[in-house]
Amino acid sequence: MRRYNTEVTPALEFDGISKRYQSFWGRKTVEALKDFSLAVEPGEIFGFLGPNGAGKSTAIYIALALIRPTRGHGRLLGAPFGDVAARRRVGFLAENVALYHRPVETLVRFYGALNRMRDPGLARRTREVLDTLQLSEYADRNVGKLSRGQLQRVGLAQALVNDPELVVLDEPTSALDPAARVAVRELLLALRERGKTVFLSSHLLSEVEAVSDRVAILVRGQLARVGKTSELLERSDEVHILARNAGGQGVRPQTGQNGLQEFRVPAAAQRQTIERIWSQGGEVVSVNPVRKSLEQVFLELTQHEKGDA
Amino acid sequence: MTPVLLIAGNFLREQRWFIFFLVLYVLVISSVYALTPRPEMQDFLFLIRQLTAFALLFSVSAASSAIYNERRSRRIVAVLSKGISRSEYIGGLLLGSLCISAISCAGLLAGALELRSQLHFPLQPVLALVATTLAAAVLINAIGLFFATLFHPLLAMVATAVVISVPFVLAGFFGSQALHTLAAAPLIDSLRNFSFSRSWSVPWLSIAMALAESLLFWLAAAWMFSRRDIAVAVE
Repeated sequence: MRRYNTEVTPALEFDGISKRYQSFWGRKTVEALKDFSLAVEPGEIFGFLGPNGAGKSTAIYIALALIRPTRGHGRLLGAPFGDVAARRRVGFLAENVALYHRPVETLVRFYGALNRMRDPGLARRTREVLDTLQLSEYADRNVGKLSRGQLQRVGLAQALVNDPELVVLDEPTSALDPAARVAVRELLLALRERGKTVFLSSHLLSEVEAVSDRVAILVRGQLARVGKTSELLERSDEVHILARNAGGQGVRPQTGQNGLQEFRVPAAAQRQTIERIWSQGGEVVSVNPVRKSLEQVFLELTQHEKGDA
Repeated sequence: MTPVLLIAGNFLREQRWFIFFLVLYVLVISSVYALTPRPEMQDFLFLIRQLTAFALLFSVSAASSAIYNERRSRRIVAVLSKGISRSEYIGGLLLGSLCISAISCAGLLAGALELRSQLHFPLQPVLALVATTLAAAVLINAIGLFFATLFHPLLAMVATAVVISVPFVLAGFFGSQALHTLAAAPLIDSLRNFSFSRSWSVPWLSIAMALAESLLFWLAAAWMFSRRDIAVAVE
């Protein structure tokens, strides 16, 4: 089980970041982020969720110094946002990736060279990432002639060519087919195995749920929830009781199979239900908090916020 | 230095068709003059003044539109998310635009060599003219890039033209000394009056001033660009 150490320097840290977009004459303003604070630990896969317009991409762009915050500050691999040397240790794939129309290998080399990589290391690393992302056969093909999914993989290749310590991915699998998605998921897990940090923004909640150690949900520019994925999915107000030989008067199971009965009761009624099972000669096999899918948590939070608005 | 060279090379690659047609134009127009049975010196002077003007105009227009085009296509996001500073990025664009001027000047030089056997003029003043053109190009492109960090390319071009025109307007009121308020003005004035006579001399002081002012405009452009939200739509 992963432990979260508050003394370790975060790989990515937002501290009270606010961002207000203004129209040219300042008549229209949109507050994309409001006093946003978050710390991503080294070596974890961090899922970053939120509905469209929640401010996810703004937060990422601020971290990479592509956008300036209106207020607040943050650190990327221990250095203030905007530090060029720190950005050399980061890989970034933007949503709707836009790349120059060049042969794939030349293009990946170009992005590696921008991070001051040199041959022969650059050539070796380029071949490695092309191989990992199954792009070797397209190495000489112009990027302009690739499919959307292939283009997305080239985007991943340019993000990984410098063997980054922190990988920031904004919708990395949006254009990929299921097989390619599985490959990317395995890639992310392999990166974590190698001690890399992955900051993953995605709308594919099942995917985030499958790989993330921790998750943050951003709603209307504010952090609505952050925590370990497993804890976030546990429903604290309901428990799931599995019992044998239960189901007498006053104790009615929801489902039952293989001689076991399942009960889903409010947490407050947990003790009472267990006592009733025992009093009727039943045996309690397990008691667990009810788990929700990330989708349920996400929808609850975002709809709750909509209701507030 | 490497990121600057990479950005410059990339800029030239993206402008390859523009450069191709520029070179083609220079070579065709020079060949037309060379093939004229009895070319006149006056015509040749008109040609090289025209080509120096093009060298400046084309490079500044390419430089001014570069940032806008990169932002609109969103390609700039992948570039600036790498370990590259905004000053290096602007430096790369400046170097790339200077290369366009240099290519144009190389065409001019090739045309001059082609015509030299018929018109019998010394080559040294042409080389001085190229040096003057390049110095003017550095400064004008730096001014253009500074405004391009703020405005739409068209507005940036207009703003650059206005800034360069100010010394000429001032000279109309306060005399020719006022031309030196911005080094681009005496350089353009020198290019406009280029001739093979002894009265034309290389404006070395203005060239030195132009390089110093270019440095200032490059720093100003880098500072201004570092304060811009470049991942925001430009439409």
